[in-house]
Amino acid sequence: MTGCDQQQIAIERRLHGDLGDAEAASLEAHLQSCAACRAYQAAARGTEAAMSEQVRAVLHEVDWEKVRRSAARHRAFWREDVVSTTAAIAGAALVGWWLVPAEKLQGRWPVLLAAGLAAIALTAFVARERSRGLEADADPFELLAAYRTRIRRDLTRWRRQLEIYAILPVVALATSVFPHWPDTSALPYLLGISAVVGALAAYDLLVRLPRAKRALADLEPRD
Amino acid sequence: MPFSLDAAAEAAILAGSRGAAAERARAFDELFRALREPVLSLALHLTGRRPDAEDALQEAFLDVHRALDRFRGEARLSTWVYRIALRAAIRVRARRREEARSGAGRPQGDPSAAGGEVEGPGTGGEADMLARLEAGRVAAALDRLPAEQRAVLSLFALRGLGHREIAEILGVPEGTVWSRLHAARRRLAAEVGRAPP
Repeated sequence: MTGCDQQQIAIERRLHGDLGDAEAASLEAHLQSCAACRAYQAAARGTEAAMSEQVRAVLHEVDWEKVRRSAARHRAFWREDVVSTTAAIAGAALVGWWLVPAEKLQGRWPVLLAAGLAAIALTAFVARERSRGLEADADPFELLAAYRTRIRRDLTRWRRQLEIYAILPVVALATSVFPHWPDTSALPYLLGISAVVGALAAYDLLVRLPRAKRALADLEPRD
Repeated sequence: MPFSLDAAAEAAILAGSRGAAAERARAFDELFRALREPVLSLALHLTGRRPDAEDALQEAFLDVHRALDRFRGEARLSTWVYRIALRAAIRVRARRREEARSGAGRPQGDPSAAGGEVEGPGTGGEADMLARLEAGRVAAALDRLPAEQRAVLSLFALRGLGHREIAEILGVPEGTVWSRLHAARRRLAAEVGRAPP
């Protein structure tokens, strides 16, 4: 304590725009005769300037977009589950529509449609509940770690899927066409399956994998 | 650098945060853009290192994002965000200290370099270099202060928050923030090595 505590608090108040004119005049008069308070004022201004400089030096180094993406990431998981399930069911329906004769489907499509919609709804419900369970009161650090684990698991799964996508048409072609060559009546169906599988593989390769890798990079701790 | 949002901007963000997914995303983006720099500034002063400050920034806005639609307006939106940021920065710093003690994680490093590498005489003006050296010295001194003193100094250093809002963020009476700031300033000056007589 210097005996000037009130004046030094007044210095702080003036520095931060909270001192009235009368008090400011009184403080100014005190400062004329008090070296300790002048030193305090200089130190206060100096440290605030230094703290601003510290911030100024790093502001341009921060990847704001990366931080924004990672903070907003947590709503994405359950939606991705729903989109994946919907895409898988749509793909299966397309292949089924192509391969199964129309007369066999007659009268059954409302049931199949209902089953598909129910599967999507169930996936949405389970994914959302799982997401809520993960997020409820979780420490953000643990949550980020859980997101990273989840993305790494997805990446592994999708890479395995890609291997299967690559093998599947070759196996189908080998087992269905070559033993009966030159009867190639199954070829259009195989080409259709290959096209669907190829589209899924391309989606994984060009969209899902790069997006997941970027998300993982966003969520990694800095340094 | 904006420090808080005006009432109309807060109301618009809050309305958006209760809307459809696209509106919620827009509301969050707006809040992030408005407060990211002061939150980083706060985190930098509280943690002492840029990577830790960025981790705290990320964790703070993750918390904001997942709780924004549940915010009921008991305080100003910016006050609420700053409180979350304070908690995040303190948590990150504590975690880093724990990792350093156990020998895991990133090295603690020198907080005097928290503002980045100090430029050599050839890469910037002399005044710039001196300013950065001083910033490093203050950062190192700040690092030795207790968390509550670092918090009050950091909030006032934002130079834009009123003392009422700072009192609310810290959860102390209005009158207390000035005495706390005064005590912290004296301690900081002592740590920097130029304590006022």
